Amino acid sequence: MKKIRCVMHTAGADSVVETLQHLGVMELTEVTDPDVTPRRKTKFEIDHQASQAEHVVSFLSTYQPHSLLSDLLEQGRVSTSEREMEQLMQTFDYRDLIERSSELIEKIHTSEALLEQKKQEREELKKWQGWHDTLSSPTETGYTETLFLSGNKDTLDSAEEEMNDYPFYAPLRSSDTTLALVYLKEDQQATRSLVTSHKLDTVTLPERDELPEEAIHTLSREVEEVEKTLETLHKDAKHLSRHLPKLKVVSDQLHWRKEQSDVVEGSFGTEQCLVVEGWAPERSLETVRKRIEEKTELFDLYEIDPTEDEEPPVEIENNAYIRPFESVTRLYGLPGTNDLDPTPYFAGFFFVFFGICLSDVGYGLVLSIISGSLLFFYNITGTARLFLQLFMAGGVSSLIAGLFFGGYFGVDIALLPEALQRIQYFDPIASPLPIFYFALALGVIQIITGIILDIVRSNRVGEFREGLTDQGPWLLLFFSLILWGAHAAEYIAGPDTVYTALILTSLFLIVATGGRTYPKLWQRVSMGVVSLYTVVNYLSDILSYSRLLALGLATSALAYSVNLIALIAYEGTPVVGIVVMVIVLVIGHSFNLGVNLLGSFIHTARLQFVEFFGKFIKGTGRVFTPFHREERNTILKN
Amino acid sequence: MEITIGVGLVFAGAAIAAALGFSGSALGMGYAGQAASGVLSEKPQLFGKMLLMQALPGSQGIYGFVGAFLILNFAGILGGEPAVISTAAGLQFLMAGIPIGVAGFFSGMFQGRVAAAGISMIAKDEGNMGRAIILSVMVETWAIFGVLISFILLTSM
Repeated sequence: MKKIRCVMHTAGADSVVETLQHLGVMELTEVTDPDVTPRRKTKFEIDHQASQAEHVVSFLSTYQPHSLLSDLLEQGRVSTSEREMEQLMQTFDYRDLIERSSELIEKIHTSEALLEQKKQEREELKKWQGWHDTLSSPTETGYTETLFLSGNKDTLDSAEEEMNDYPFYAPLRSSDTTLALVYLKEDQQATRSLVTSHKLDTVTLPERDELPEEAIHTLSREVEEVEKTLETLHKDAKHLSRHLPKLKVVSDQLHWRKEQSDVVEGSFGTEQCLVVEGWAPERSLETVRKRIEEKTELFDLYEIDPTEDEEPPVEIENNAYIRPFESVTRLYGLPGTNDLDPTPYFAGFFFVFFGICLSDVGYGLVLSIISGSLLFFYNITGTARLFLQLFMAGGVSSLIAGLFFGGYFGVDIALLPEALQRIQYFDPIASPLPIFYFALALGVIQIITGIILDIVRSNRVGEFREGLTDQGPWLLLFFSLILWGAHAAEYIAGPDTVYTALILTSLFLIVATGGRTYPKLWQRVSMGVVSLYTVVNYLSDILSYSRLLALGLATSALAYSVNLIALIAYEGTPVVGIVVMVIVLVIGHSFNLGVNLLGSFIHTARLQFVEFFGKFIKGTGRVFTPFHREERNTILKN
Repeated sequence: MEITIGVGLVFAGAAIAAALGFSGSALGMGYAGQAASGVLSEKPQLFGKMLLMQALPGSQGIYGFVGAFLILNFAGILGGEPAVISTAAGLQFLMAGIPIGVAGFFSGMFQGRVAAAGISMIAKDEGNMGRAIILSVMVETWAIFGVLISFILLTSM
């Protein structure tokens, strides 16, 4: 990853920025060149057009039928190619369409607001139906005033009682929650205190030249009219929405042009020149230069030194078989700049562990088929695609594991053909211990790999000797313990003393190198002994792998239970027994698959993150975010 | 399999290991889940990381499951050959269930609290994910030792 500066003449700036966006390999940063200053932003029109187009797209989308699954997987994006896009932009009159749509949106919003208002007014007036005067008549006469009050039933009841006691009050109870009061002006103070003491609200009625009942009728008519207008407007919108796919393409194109102009306008420069700076992978530089040269010669792209505290962003790249596992790495966070990309190293382990956790031929098959179908029938991009590919691979692994563990939708293997029974190597329920030791052994292998990778990492940062002295003795300890174990189980020959000697040597080396950074000898020795404590960490790491056994067991146990319940349902229900059994089977096994899929994925991932990554990944990197064409409404194919 | 007090004690041992382990995980994951919900209301894009952090205290449930299973297996009740289990033998199995059960319960609960705190760390800076995971997993060490001792007790019979 190199720090880059690109200087271009204003005449060629547009072409250069467009090419950078299309290639999508450069992340842009603040310009640090001391000889240039920021330019002023002048283009407004392109911003306005782009945001208007996006607004219209989201509005019209509500008028198109939605399929939940395709929304979820494709986010309603349209598939297209670069050439199709160019053609469309030249032939399609989008400006007019966007204008018309925007006007329509305005009208719809106004009508909807008007409708709301009228409905509310009508609701309000319904409470005053008993009022015997036109609404616009003055509430003040020579001697009296009228108040319109509202409150809840109980407070109004008690207020009305009080008013009835006084002969010079004329209350009219219009409804449970409303009351009109005519009072003498001289009683104004008393009335006010009565109103506040009962916590009533004063209402102002709308000014209409009609009685409340008449007003309600007029309003109902008006509401009907507005609703009719709205219906026509909605129909127009639906008619316009048939242009939606084209509009989506247009909106994305406009958005990209806006982003390009943002870069050009917001960059630093002089009168004739523009400067942008950023990060790009080293191997992409040639391509960038060549592609820009095809359009214009008025530029220069060169590498500069990053400032003191600047950290380059990180990106990882793997081949097509490893790439699905990147989804797991990204979940944790990309490794730091000086770390290794762990993906190719844990891919194999993840594949195997996932299979052991979900060990079932049936579930593996279902998982692979569903993931594969989704990938095939829908255009899915990004991390979702990686996850589906990962699950597809995981399904295959579960299938293989299921063959060896004897898991077939939880069916007792004794009921299945001989051939399958012979393939089965482990029986989780009858003898879990071999699987337990197998899981631990896999753990030991992964931990040893982690230690070796740490040595590789230290070599990368030029500290090979340090790394070797740190981790070498531990590696030796592991291998000597394995050899000793193999000897104890009589797989290899030789005198006992050789193996014990190896173990003791490695222990000695650990103590000898553990405290070597300390100045005084007694410190070195004591810290060396203390460093033996890491044995505890390794032990805990290894035991953590026993979860592989547990998760595999959980899947089998649940599957077996589902079958048991289905059988009971079948025998217990008359006539439709078989239907009930099928329903129980489908729901039960789907649930089991779902729960154990989640569990297997999470715990397998956790094993990688905690026990494996912890050995050789020292930092987290900032993700590389290149300037590129954001496919918000479209999916670009080549 | 003859039903004796011994068998009852074996069941008790397995039940303790499983129930306490599961409860510890439930409590722990509950704490973590609450913290995660809070974070996600502000930053929904962190869902994957939150799910992972919430899953961390789940290990104790798994160890409890393994413990119960091993107890039943070593006693011959599940797979293997069922033998007559005396009260004394049953008592041994009961004791074997205690380390993983109790250790699983408390470590699960507290690992959940650390996970919840770690979730706040991640909310402030996604790069803290690694540290948050490591802090949480330190607590799990004791559940693992619980499994180890339970296992040793079982194999020593």
